[in-house]
Amino acid sequence: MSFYKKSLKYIQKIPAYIALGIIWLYKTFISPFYTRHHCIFYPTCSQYARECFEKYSFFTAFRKSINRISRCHPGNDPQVDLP
Amino acid sequence: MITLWNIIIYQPIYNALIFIAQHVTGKDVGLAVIVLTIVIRLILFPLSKKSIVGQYKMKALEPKLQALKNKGLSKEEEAQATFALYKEYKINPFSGCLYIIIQLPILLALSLCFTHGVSQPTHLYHFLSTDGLKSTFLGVVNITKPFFWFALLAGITQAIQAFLAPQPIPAGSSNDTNMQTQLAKSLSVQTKYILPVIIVIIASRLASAVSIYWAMANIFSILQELYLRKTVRSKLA
Repeated sequence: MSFYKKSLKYIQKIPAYIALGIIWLYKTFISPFYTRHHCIFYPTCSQYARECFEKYSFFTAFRKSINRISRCHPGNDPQVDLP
Repeated sequence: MITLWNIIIYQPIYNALIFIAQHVTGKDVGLAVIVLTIVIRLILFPLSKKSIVGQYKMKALEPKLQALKNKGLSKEEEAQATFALYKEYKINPFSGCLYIIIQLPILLALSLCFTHGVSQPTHLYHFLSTDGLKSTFLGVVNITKPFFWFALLAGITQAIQAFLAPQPIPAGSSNDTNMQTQLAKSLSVQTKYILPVIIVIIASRLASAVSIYWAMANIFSILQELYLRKTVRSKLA
């Protein structure tokens, strides 16, 4: 693989790394504040989003995560939903 | 992106605040924050009500959940079995992530409202005006500046709320005794005590309007908790 292709591959991953950073910030600093609330799914939405950003392209992962969070309210039954 | 944020979230909240301050609370922006908090929480009430009722009902299920945990299933299987049990008894103890995600931008927008000052003509809708608004809460505290005692109040109410709440048992938290789960458990206990302190530290650096919002939201949660506890107990008994 040429140098350009290699570097392009890393540059393409930058948005995903930023998203993963935001998810990490949420999991460490924001989520613990909400002791009373818990995700209705397994794995939790933040974990699901993290796995999505590791597995899929940025836009697919973003769409899947938004879709998942919008379903995460008490109107839905708790269920196992893997990325 | 910034215009989108302004139009969808920031401006509605800012203008709602100004509207309430102008028409409801005698031009006191501090009181308007309290009213706005109560309005937001009342809108979100149906979302949290169902889960709180579910958490009380779950007490009856506890032995069965404990038995499931001792079976030594994998995390995924355990979650599946737990959820099947919930479905069978028609309870849902979780409020979900949407509840949190909705509140975060509101808190952020509210704190930005006060760091930018009460008068922001570019964001104001044309039928409102900021004339004569008082940014001193009850004529004593300047709500655009940090104020320690409100921050302390926010921390204390958070602590009370944390102790009142029965902890929901998250799915997939096995009962094994390896080091990592023990560590996670001790951390979750720590957050109960340390979080209020962190809140006091953060809130004492932000505009005191944010502390008012925080404290008010916590007080609302406490009252909601006590009210639902009473109604659910009388229903279950």
